[in-house]
Amino acid sequence: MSLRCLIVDDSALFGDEARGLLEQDGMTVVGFAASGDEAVRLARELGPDLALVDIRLGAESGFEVARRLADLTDTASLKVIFVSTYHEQEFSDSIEASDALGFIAKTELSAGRIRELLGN
Amino acid sequence: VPPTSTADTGGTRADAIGAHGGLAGIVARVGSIHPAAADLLLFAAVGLAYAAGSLVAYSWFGAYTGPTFFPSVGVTVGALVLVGSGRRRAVVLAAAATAEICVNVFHGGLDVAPAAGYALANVSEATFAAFLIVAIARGAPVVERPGLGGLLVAVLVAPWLGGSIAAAVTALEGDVDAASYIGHWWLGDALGILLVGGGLIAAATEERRHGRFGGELAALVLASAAAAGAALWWDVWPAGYVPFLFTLVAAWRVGALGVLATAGVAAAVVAEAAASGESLFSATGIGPDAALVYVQVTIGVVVGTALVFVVLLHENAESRAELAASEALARELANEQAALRRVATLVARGASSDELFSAVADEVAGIIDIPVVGVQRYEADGTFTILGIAGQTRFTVGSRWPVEDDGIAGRILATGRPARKDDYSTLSGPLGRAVREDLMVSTLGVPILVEGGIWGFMIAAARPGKTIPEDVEQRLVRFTELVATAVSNATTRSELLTSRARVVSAADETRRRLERDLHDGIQQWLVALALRARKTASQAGGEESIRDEVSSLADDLVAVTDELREISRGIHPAILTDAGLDDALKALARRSPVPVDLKVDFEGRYDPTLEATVYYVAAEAITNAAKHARASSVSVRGGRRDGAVELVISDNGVGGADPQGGSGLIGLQDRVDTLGGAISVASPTGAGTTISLQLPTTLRGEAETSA
Repeated sequence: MSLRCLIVDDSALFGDEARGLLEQDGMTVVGFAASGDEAVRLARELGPDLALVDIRLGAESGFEVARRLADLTDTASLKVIFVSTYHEQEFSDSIEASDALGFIAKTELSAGRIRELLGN
Repeated sequence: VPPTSTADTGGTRADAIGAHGGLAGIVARVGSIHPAAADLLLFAAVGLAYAAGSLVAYSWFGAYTGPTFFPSVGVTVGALVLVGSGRRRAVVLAAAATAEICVNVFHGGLDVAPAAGYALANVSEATFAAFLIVAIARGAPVVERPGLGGLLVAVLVAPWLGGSIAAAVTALEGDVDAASYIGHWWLGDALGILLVGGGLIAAATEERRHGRFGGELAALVLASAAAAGAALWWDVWPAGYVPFLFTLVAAWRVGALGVLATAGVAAAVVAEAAASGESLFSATGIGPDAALVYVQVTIGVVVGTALVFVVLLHENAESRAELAASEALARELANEQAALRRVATLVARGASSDELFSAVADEVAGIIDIPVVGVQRYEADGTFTILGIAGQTRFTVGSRWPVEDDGIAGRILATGRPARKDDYSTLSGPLGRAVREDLMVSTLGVPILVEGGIWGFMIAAARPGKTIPEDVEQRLVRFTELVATAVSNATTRSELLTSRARVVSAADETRRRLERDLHDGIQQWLVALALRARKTASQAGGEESIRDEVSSLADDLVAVTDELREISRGIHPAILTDAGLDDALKALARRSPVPVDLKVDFEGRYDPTLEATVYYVAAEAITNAAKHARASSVSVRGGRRDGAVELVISDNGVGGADPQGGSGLIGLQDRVDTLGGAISVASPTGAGTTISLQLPTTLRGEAETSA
C-alpha cells in the first residue's frame, strides 16, 4: 500500500511539483494545506500517514503546525517531515527539539529520501 | 577777587560731599525751602563764627602786632570751599567783611576806613586761599594728596596777601615795621587757615571711619589740651613738645580732622599763653617774641607732618581695602567660573535633563546666596513645570503651576525679558497662595531662550530681610545660556537619534520584506523548476543524452536555488525573525568556519532593530576572527542584564585590529549609536580581539523625546 502523504505548504507551485514527483515514485498525495488550521482539518479528515510541513508557512511557523499535528490524538500514526528552501543547519535546533522524523531540503525532495527517513 | 568761575569748576566734589553734613548741609536744606532764607542763615552763621573767632583771637591770642592764631580766616576759607555756588561764596565774603569791620569798630575802636581796609585784607586773603585749595585739591578730601597739597599751598601763600594789604593799611595810620608785621600776620593767619579752615574741610570731606570720630577724638583733644596746659605750668623744656605727640597719635587713629582738632586746641592754649608773655619754650631761654614765632612754626611743622602721615596711612589703607575688594571679587568670579564649568561639563557630557537642571539650581544657589533658585519649563497648556530647584521650599521638582499674567512667569513669557516682582500680596490663584505660604517676598526671573523661542525661565526668590542684588540678573543669564545650549543639544540629539532610528528600522524592514519576497516567490519557483526538471529527467526513458541534460539542468537549478538562499540570508537572516536571537546565533555558530564556543541566553524577543544589531555584530566579529585574525576559536557570550542586552565576542587570533580600519564594525557603530548603546573593541597585538556590545532594551531616542 502506497504512503498517503499530506503536503503542508503555502506555495502551490512547490505543492504541484512535489505531488508530481512523489506520485511518480508511487506515493499518494492526499491533499494540500496552506495553513495550520487547514493542515489540522485535513489530517483529521484524510488520516494521512505522513505530513510534509514547510518550516516557513506564510506568517505561521512550521514547527508550531507540527506540534499541533502531533497533538492530534486520533491520528497517532501521523509522521511529520519538515521541508524548506532554507538550509537544514539554520533550523537544526528546532528540528531536533521537535517530534518530527527529520528534514528534507525542498530541492532534495524525493520518495527515496522520505522512505529513508521513515525507515530510520 | 570774587571766587567765581575757577572755583566753581573744581568745587563739584567738595559740594557734593559738603552737602551731606555740617553747615553746608543745613544751608542746602534751608535753601531748598527758600533761597533767601538760606543766604540769610549762611550770612549769620559765618558772620557770628568770624566775629567770635576774632574776639577770642584778640582777647586771648593778641600779641602786639595781631593775633598769634587767627581762627576767623580759617572759618572764611572753610565756608568758601564748602558752600556750592558763587552767590553763596559772595554771601560768605560779605559776612566775613561785615564781621571784621564790626569787631574792629566796636571792639577795637578803629575808624570805619582802616576797619574796612583790614576787612579787605582778610577777605582777599581768604578768597585767594579758597581759590588755591579748590584749584589744586579739585574737591579731593584732605586725606588725599591733592587735598593736602591745596591746603598746604594755601596756608603758605595766601596769608602774605592779607598781611601785605593789612601792613599797607596800618602804614597809612602810622609807622609800621612792615616785614615783622607781615611775618606775624602770616604766622597767625597760616595757623588759622591750616587748623580751622583745614579742620572744617576735613570734617566735611573726610570719609568717616567707624568709631574713629567721637570718643577717641574727644579723648585725644582733651589730652592734647591738658598736656599743653601742664607743659605751661611745669615749664620744663621737653614738656613743650608733649601736646604734639597726641597730634601724631590722632593722625594714626582718627585722621586729618583728628590732627587739626588736637593741634588746634593745643595751639589755642599755647597761643593764649604766648600772648600773655608765657611760652611753651621759655625754658629754652629764648625771648618771648622769638618764642612766639617758634611756637607758631612748631605747630605748623607738626601739623604739616601729621597730615602727610595721615595721607600716607590713608593711601595704604585704601590700597589694602582695594586689594581686599578685588580679591573678594576675584574669588567670587572664580567660584562662578567653576560652577559654570561644572555645568558646562554636564552639558557637554549630555547628562540627563533631571541631573542637569537640579545641578544648575544647586550651583546658582551656591554662588548667589539666594534662598531658593529654580529652573522651569513652559508647557503648551499655559502652565510651567519645575525641573530643578534648590533651597528650602514647598515648590517641588515635577510640579506644574499656572502661568499668571502678573506673575514672573507671565511677564517673562509676554516680554521675553528678565522680570522682577517684589509684591506678591495681590497675585491670585494657587500660585499666589503657594508663593505667599513659601514666604517669598521678592523674585527675579530670567528667560531661557532656546533657538529663538522662550523655552522656560530661571528664578531666584528671596525671603523677608533679604534682597536680590542687582548683579544676580547677569549671573543668572550666564547660566540660562548654558541651560539653553543643553536643551538645544538634547532636542537636536534626540531628534537626530529618532530620525536615525527610523532610517535604520525602515532599512531593516525593507530587508526583511525583500528576503521574504525572495523566499516566497522566486525561491519557491526555482525549487519547483528543479523538481520538475528532476521528474522530467526520470521520465525521459531511453533517451540518455536528454536525461543527462535535464538532470544537469536540475542540478544547476538547485545550485541557483542554493546561491539565492545564501544571498537572501545575507539580506536578512530569516531565522532571526522566526526564532529569535538565541537560535539565530546558534545557526551562525554552526555555519562558522572557525569553531565557536557559544553560550547565550537572551530570554525572548526584542525590538527587530536591536535583534538585527546584535546578530550583525556577532556575524561581523566571527567573520573577522576567521578572515583577518586567523583565530582557531571564538567565544560568544550574551544575555540580558539590568535592562540591557550584552554581547561579548573574543577570539584567540593575532589581535591588532584597528576598529577604524575599514572593518564592517564601523557601519555597525552607527547602528549601535542609534540604539543608544555602546560597542568597544580591544585588540592588543598578539592577544586576540574582544568586542563588547551593550544595548539598552528600550530605544533611547524615544525615551528622551519627551524631555
